[in-house]
Amino acid sequence: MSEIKLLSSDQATITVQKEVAERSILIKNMLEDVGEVTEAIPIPNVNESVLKKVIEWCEHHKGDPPAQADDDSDSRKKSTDIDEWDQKFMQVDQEMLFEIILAANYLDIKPLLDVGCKTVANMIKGKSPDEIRKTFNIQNDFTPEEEEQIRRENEWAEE
Amino acid sequence: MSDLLPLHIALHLVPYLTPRDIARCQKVCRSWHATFTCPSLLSAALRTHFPRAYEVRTRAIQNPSSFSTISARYNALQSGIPQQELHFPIKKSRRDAYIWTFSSDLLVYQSSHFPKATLSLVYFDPTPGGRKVKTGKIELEDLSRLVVRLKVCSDVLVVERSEEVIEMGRSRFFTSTECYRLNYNEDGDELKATMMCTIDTFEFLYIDYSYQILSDLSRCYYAAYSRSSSGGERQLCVWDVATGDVVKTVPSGSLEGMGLMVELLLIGDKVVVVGDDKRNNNFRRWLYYQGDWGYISHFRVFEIVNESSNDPVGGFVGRKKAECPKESRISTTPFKVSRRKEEEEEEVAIILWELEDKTNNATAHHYTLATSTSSPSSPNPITSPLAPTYQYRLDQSNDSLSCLDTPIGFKKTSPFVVKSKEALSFDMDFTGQNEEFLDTRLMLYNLRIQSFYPSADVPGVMELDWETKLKDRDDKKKERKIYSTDRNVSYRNIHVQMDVAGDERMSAFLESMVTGMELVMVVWDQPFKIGT
Repeated sequence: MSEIKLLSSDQATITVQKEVAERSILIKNMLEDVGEVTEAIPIPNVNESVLKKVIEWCEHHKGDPPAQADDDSDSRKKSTDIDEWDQKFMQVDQEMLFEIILAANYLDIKPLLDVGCKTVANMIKGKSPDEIRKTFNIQNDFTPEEEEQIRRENEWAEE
Repeated sequence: MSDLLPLHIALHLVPYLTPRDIARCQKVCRSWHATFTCPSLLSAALRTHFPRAYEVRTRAIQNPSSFSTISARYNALQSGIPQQELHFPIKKSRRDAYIWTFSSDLLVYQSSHFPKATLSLVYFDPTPGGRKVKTGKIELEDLSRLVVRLKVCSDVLVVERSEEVIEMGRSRFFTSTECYRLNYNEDGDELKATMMCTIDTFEFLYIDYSYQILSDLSRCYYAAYSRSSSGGERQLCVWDVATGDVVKTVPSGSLEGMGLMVELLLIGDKVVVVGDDKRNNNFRRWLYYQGDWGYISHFRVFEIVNESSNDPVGGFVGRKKAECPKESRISTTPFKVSRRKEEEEEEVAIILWELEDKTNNATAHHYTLATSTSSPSSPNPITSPLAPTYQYRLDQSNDSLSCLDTPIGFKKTSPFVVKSKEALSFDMDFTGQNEEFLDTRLMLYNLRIQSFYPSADVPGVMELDWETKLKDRDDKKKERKIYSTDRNVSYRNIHVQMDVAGDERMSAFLESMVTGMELVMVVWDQPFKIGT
């Protein structure tokens, strides 16, 4: 089994099986274009701890069938069900969660991006604006007038 | 925090959040508001959650107001609680019928029969911002000519009437159609109608068959068909609504072999007739027919002005014997969706509705009759089948709900017809017998709304997304009970025809009130301004 090296944004080198790294479409395409590489591939947008986490996910899911290229899938309603392993995997602090989502987006790992988005969506779903603020630790920076204006625009969504 | 939720990530959240979740996200803080009101996010949300809403289909989305307008509409539909409800008292005609129609945003009904015959007009002006109601009246002359039916298309209204003349002890019936032009654009709250012409259509001997006349209306033409006319050859005719002149007569020979004619539809400069030869709503009859097809509904298309050499063209829709389970019930509904301003084309479609008795799975096969049927490529167009454009499926094999009066293990399915492009079906659902209706001899209905969503697995298939029933006016948790318009009807096997007219924006139906019958208009969109 061939191995490749990845270089994180904080200059850490991580060795990973080629098969695992190719869960990332970005790396897969890069390897296809370049052919054999001996040097570490720089991943400038992702730091070591996040990259390790992403690789952990790829290791566990390396046997998964490749995702179907479905152009239509982005404009369909989806279920937010997450399998058990992924749920445990996503039990990280919020900063790490968003870092993983951004990394998955950058590295083009669609299934991981989906899991991350489902996790965030589950934190939003069915909650009032106030509960959402608490969950994500956000300050309400609206003036009362602005708040009233927004409320009127979306009267149907009031309870 | 806000910088942790860039727009391109928020876009990925759209398929997992409901429209209500998105509306709540807008209220969190300024930066979330900016993200969740971004036009690209909102139009993605509309495409995802309401793919068949007419603004989405016609790409008439105006952000961000479209999102809240469409979400509010579907919120009302989904909860069964309209945003506005309007009532119009209506009286039965001498022929025991309520005369009304709702089409092209115009409600027309006969509000008085004697000593004056009056038609009331109510126009629901949908212009955003305006949304007001204009009203008008037409005083009909000649009371002996009873109103049979009303039809509206855009700014044309036709009034179909029938008159009995007794000559030497013999009853003769003459039917005629009055054509009116409506002026919506004039300022003020009044809607004016000007009569353009009167068309003499058919005559009948002894029995008044005016109810059986098939007719349709477009902005330019009026078409009518009667198989019982005593006038000889003239069965299917098309007239100019402005002048009343005959523009097309179809010889009866061209209609041979179609079975019973069930609908007549005008689309553009063509007239479409749909027949039904009832080979099968019952598989036992298949024995008598050769071939693969167990159920067939024929259609023919005639050019009104430019008669081409291969006129008429047509074809059929049907179910193959091998394809439909033996214990199926099948029925057919042809329909036309009239053109809205935003849309390019009218749609004519035939729907075959099929219920499998064993599983209770129901399917509506939706066949769009494109205008391309006028340029046939097959050698024998009249006998070639059409492929379905959509299938609306209702899988009830796992549905534990059953009706009160049905034995355990038997589930009841009423026909549903998605009679529009919206993937929404509005039906009066017969609720079965119960104590209340045994006393009154009135049958009890619910207004049922079903919404279908494109299937993830099979292209062209729409699966049931949600289903709801119109709620009670006083108790919003209860379903509204709507009594049938006729009493003293047997409650076994006969379902009184209860109509719902309208679309995803508003629906009209008849409801029996303590004070008498009323036409009810339930508005799913923003309320209309009424009067001053």
